[in-house]
Amino acid sequence: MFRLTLRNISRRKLRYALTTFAVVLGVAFLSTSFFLTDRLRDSFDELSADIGSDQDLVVRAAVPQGADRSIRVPIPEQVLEIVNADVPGVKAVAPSIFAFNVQPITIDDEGQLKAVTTVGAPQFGVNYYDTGELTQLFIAEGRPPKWTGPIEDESVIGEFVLDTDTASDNDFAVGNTYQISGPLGNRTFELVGTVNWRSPDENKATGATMSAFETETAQTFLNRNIPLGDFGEIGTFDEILIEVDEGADIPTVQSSLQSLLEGFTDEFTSLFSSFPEELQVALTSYTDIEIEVVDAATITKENEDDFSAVVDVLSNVLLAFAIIAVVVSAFIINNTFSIVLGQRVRELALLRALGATSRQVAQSVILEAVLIGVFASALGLTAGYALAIGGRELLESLGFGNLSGALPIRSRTIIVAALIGVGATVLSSIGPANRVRSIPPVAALRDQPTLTAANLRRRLIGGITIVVVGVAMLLVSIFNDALSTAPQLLILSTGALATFGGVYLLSPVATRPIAHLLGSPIQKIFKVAGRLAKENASRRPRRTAATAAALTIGLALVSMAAVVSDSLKSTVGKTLETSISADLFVSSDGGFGPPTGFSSDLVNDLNLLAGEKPELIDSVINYRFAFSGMAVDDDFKDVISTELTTLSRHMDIDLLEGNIDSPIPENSDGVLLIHADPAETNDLSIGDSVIVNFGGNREANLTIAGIYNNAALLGNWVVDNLTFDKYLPQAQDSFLSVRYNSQADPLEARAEIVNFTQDYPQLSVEDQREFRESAEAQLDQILSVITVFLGLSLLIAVLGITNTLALSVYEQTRELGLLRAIGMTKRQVRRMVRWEAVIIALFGGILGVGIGILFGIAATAAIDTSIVSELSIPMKSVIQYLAISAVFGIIAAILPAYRASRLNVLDAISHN
Amino acid sequence: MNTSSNAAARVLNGTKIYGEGDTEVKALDGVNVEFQEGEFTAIMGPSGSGKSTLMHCVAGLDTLTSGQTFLNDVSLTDLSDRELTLLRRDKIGFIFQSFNLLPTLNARENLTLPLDLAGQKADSSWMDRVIESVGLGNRLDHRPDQLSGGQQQRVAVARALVSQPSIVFADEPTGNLDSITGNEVLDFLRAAVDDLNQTLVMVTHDAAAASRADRVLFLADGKIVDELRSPSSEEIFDTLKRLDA
Repeated sequence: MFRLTLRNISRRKLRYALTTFAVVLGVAFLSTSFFLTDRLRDSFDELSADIGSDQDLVVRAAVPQGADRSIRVPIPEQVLEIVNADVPGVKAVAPSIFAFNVQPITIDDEGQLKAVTTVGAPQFGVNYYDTGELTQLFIAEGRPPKWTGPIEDESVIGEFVLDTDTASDNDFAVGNTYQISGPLGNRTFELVGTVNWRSPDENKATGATMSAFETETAQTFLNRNIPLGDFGEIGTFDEILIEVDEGADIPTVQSSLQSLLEGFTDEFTSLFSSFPEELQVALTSYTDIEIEVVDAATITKENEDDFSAVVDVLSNVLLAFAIIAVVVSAFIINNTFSIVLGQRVRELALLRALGATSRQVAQSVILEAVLIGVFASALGLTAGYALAIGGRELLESLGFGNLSGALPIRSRTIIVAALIGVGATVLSSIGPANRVRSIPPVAALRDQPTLTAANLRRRLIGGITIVVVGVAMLLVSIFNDALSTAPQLLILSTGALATFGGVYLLSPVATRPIAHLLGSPIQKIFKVAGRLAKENASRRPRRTAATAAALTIGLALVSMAAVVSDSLKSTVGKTLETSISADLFVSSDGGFGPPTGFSSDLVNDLNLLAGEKPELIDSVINYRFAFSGMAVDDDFKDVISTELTTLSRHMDIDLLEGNIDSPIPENSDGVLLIHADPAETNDLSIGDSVIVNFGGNREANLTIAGIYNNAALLGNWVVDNLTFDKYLPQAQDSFLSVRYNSQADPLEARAEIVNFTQDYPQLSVEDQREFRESAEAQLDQILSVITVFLGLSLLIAVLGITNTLALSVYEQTRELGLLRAIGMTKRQVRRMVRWEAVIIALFGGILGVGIGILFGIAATAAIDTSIVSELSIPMKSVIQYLAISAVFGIIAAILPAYRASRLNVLDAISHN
Repeated sequence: MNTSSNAAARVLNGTKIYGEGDTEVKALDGVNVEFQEGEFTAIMGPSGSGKSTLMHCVAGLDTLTSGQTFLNDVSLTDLSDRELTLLRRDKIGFIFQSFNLLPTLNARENLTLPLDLAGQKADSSWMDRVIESVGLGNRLDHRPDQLSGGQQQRVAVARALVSQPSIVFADEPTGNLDSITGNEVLDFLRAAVDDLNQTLVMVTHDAAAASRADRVLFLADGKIVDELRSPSSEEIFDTLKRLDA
C-alpha cells in the first residue's frame, strides 16, 4: 500500500504541487516568526543579562506591582550620604540619571532644523561617569563632557557626548555646537566626544540615542532638581549603582544598605520642617518614597520582562497571521483531496474490487496526506529560515539592534511547525478519506462514478443553527455591558468563529444563486463563454464554496479591520467637529515607545505669548499622560492631567454632573474628573474622596469634582496639572492645544505660535484639518500593515483557486474537447475559465466582505466608547476589496485557462 | 483530378503518418476522395484502417502529413488553428459517439451552441424546422442527464445541423444506442440528407447503419479499397468479409 501511495503522489505531481505549496507557505510564515522572535528574545536576554551584570546592587525608589516602571520618581542626592564607598562591602557607587525624550537637533540638507528621531527606540539623556566596573559609557572619540556653567542660563554653552551610531548616522561632528531639546527646554551644547554604550569597542545601544552630560549639568538639564524657590533646589538621581568589594557577600551588603536607608525618609522630611507648608507639600512625592535596594538578578529580570513584552507583541501578531495562513491552507488541502479523490473513484473502486478493504483505501489516503505534510513542513521550515534571514535585516533596520549570527533553531520551532504542517494536512484529509471508505467495488464498472455528495439539507439545518448561535453570541457580547473584558472578548471571538463556521457550512447552498447573480452580467457581455463560466462555477457548489472560503477568511479580516479603522476615523472626525473648540494642536512626532514628551518651556512661552497678544491667542493648555500611572483600589489606570481651569474653552468632555474647574476642597490633595462608566463601576459620585496611589507611597486624597460622558478626548480619569506636578513630577507635556481669539486671523495667530514651536523640530503643529488628516494617515498605515500581513493568506487563497480550476479543467477535458471541436475558439475557452474564476473569487469576496463588515460592527461596538463611538462602513474600500477579489480570480485563472485552451482537441474528445 | 465544384469536401493524396522510425504507422496512405454535396457517405473498415483519421483530417480536427484537404474548395492545409476553429464552427457539424452535449446546458442551449459561439442569431424558420425535427417538444428545457440516450443523440444531430454547415461528420453516432433508438437517429440523419440536402459523412462499424448511406467507402491499411453505391446490408457484409480475408 505504501508503494502505491508513493506512486500515486509521484504520478499526480502537479496536482499536489499547488497543495504542497500552500502548506509550505503557511509553515514558512509560522517558522519565520519563531526564528525571528527567538533571535530577538535571545538578543534581548543577552542585553538584559549584560545590563544586569554591570552592577551588583541598585538603590532606587520602589514602584508597586502593576505600575508602569517609567513613573519611578528619582531619589534625593542626600541618599549618597548613606550609600557610599564607606559602607563596608561597598567598593564603588555611581549615581545615575536617565531621562527620556532628549533629542539632539541638527540641520538637514535643506538647512532646516531636524531633531534626531528613532523608530520607537528610546532617546535617552544620561549623566556621564567613569567609575570602574560601573562605567557604562566609553569614550570612542574626543573626551568626557565637563561642567561649563549653570545650564539653566540660556547663554551657557554646555558639553555633551553622543553615542557613536547616532553621531555617524546623523553626521554629528566633534567640536561643533548643537541644540538639544530636553526636559528643561532647548539648550546649546558642544559635542566634545562620542561614546559607546556598554562596551569600549562597540556601541550596544543600536537604535536608541544616548546623549550624555556631566552629572550636575544633567541634573539641571534633565530636570532632576527639586525647585525650592528661595531655598534653592535639591538634586536627585534616578538610581545609585553599586559595586561591592571582591569577595563580599552581596545579600549581606544589600540588607545592610537597606537597613541604613530605613530612617532616611524621616530624616529627609525633617530637613524641611522649617519650610513653608506649600513647599513641604511640593516635596511630598520625594518625602513619601520608599527606597529599595535590589540586586542584579532583579534588574535583569525586569529588563527581560520589559523586552519580552515587546517581543511577545511582535511574536503574537506574527503567530496570529501565520495561523490564519495555515487555516487558509487547510481549506485548500481539504478541497484538493476531495477533488482528486473524486477523480480517482474508479481507480479506488478497482482496488476495492481487487480485494483492498475500505479501511486500507482510506488509510492510503491518510498516508498520502502524511507524506505531503512531512514534505511540505520540511520545505516550509527551510523556506522559513531563508525568510527569517531577510526578516532579520528588516528588524535591524527598524532599530531592533544587531541580530547577526546564526538564527536559533529551537526544537520547539521544528515540532510546532511539523505538528501544524502535518496536522493541518492530515486533518484536512480525514473528511475525504472517510468518504472514500464508502466507495463500493462495483463503482469501478460504472461510467461516471462519483463520491457521494454531502447532504445539503443537513448542512442547511446545521449551518443555520450555528450561524444563529454565533450571531446571538456576537449580540450578547455587544449589548451586555455587565461583562468584563475577558469573557466579553471570549464570547465575541467564539461567536465570530461560529458565525464563520456556519456561513461556511451554508455557503454551498448559496453558491448557485450567488453564482447566477454574479454570472448574469458576465453572460451578457461574454455570451456563451460567460454562460458556461456561470454554469461551471455553480455546478459543484461544495467545491466552489470551499475554494472561495480560503479567500473569504482573508477578506473578512481585512474588511473587519477596515470597518474598525473607518469607525475610528469617523470618531476622530466627529469628535473634532462637535467637541473640540481648540484651533491648533502641538504634539510630539515620537509615535509609540516610552511616553513621548517635551519641555514645559514651550507651554510657558506660549502662555506668555497669549498674555501679550490676547487679540490673537485666547489660551494654550498642556496635557500629560501617565499610562498605568494612578492606582485606584490597587488597579493602575491611565490618567491624564491638564489645566482644568481653561479646559472647557478647548474641548467639551460632556460634563454630566459637577464642575470642571472647581477649586480644591479643604483636606483634599486635588480634584478628579471621572468618566460615567468607571464612576458607576467604582460607585463614585460628586464630592466623594478617593484615595489614589501614584506609585510608591505617594498616596493622594482626590475629590470627585465632575463626571463626564465623552471619554474619546481624555480617557476615563482626568486630574489637574497641579496634581501631576506634585505626584508625578517626571511626567512631561505630551500635547498642547491652542485656542485663537475668535476675532483673530487664524494664519496670523498660527504664525505667532510657530515662531516658538519652530525651535522644536520634533514637534508637529496641526490645525483641526491637519490633525484629522494625520490621524487618518496613521490609521491607514496600520490598516495597510495588517493587509500586507494578510496578503500571504490572500496569496494562498489565490493558489487555491488556481488549484481548483486546474483540477476542474482536468475533469472537464472531454467537455473542452467537444467545445473546441464544434468551434469554440481558444480565446473563448480562456474566457470561460477566467470568468469562472472571477465568479468563485467574487463569491468568496462577497462572503468575506459581508462577514467582515458584520465582525467589524461587532468589534466596533465591543471596543470601549472612549476609543470608538461612531460606526462607519467604508463603502469605497468594500468595493475595492470586491474589485481586488475579481482581479485575484483573473490572476488565478491565468495558468488553468492557458492549459485549457491548449488541450489537443482529438485527445480531449477521447479522454476518459 | 476533377475539381468539380459540387464536392463539399475532398482529399488529395492524403497521407498521415504517426510516430517515427520503428514506431512509424501510416494511418492514411495516399487517399483520394470526394464528398459530394447532398450525399450521405459512410466510411467503414476494420479498427486501425484509418477511417477515423480520414474523418478527423477532413473535419479540420487533425492535419495531414502530406497531401491536401479542401472544404468547399478552401484548402485546410494552410489554415491557422484559429481559422480551423472558425471553419469548424461555421462550416462543419459534428456528431460523436457519446458525450455530445454539455451537461450544464439544457437541450435547447446545447442545440444552439455553435450559433451562440459564433455570436449569431439563428434563422428562425430554419431553427423552428430543426427543433421540430428533433421532436423533443417541451423537453427542450431539460438538461442532458434528464434525457434518454436517443434523445441526447437527436439533440446532437440537430446541433450539427443548426448552423447549416457545408458538411456534417458523424463518428459512430449510433454506437452507444440500442438498435431501435439507433434506427431513429439514422432516420433522422437520412431525413437531413433527403429533406435538407445536407452533406453527411459517417464513420461506422455497423453494416446496417452503413446501408442507410448513398455510398459506402471501405478503408484498409490507410487506403480506400472499395466503394459501394446504395448497398444493402448484405452487400456490405460481403465486402467486409472479403476485405477481412
